[in-house]
Amino acid sequence: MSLNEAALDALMERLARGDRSAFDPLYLALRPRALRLARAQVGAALAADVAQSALLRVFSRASEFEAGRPCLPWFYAIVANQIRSEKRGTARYVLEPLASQGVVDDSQDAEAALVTRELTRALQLAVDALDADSANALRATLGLEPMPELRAATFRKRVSRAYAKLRLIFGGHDVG
Amino acid sequence: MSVEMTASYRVTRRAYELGRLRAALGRAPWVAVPIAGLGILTSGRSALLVLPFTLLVWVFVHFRGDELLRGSWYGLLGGLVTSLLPMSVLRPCCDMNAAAGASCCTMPGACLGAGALVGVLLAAAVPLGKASWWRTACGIALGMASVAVVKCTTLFAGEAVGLVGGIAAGVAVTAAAKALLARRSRPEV
Repeated sequence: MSLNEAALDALMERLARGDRSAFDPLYLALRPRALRLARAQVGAALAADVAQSALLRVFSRASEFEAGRPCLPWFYAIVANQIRSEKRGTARYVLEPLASQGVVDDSQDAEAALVTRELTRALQLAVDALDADSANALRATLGLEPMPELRAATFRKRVSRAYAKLRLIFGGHDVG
Repeated sequence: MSVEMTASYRVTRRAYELGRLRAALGRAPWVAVPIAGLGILTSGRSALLVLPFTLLVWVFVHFRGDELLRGSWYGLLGGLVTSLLPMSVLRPCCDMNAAAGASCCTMPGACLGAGALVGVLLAAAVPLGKASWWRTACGIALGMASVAVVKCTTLFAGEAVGLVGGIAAGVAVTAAAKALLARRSRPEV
């Protein structure tokens, strides 16, 4: 089920408020996304289990979603963290060669490309949600914008603050 | 295949409901404890007896959320008004020197009237929403009752039932009337 970002944000906002009618469309929209990311990270054999446990975490924390924040960065932060902790906790996953290269390198594979695009978009949404100074500092760090004319120490402080704000958008302690 | 049929859906839905319950258990004391504190100030330590009820109400409305919770916030305001009602309104037959236990002071009718009046005024003032006005109305009644019940600890059982029942009846009748009027005034499609 394909829903645009605004629709996802609105549905997650409603679900966080307790509107149960938002559950079904959100479940249908988010489950394939979790499955795709899990497949890219741990391989097809284990993807269903990992995606399911990630979904449980996402929906059990739905009440914590803050209105006005973008849904996708929050969602992917939880899913990615769950995948990471499942890998770490059980140490039983044998990564497939493609998966171990990371999703960014898998540009040949259509599904991996889709995951990469979604993750990139989620990061972009999260950065866009920051205030202008923080967003510009992060973009400059990533080489997407020229460095602002600031003292090095000031710039470092601004980047550090921007990362802290970014962590909040991604769900606080969920970002490892 | 319907989405409700899959095991994954059921497990995920249960996780959502449990997550809401956990969040509600964390949030409800932030409302219930100040209400109890206010109750102790206005009605004495007997207010602590009804703290479990108040807590339970706020756990429930936080768990269900949405219109019910929204209505409860309005109800909380109305409940605060109720808790400030002087005893001379709730027990008009008592003069200042009457013994507290005197039977002349049992006035459920006065409590019912006072509760109904507050309920009607509140339900008339609150925007109820279109589709689920009854959830908002239930929320108002629950929110008010959660505070009014503190006042009830200083009343006799009949008066307490009268006060809470009056609130519930006032909110229900006014909300239903508003919904009916809104439906009638809506243009035919």
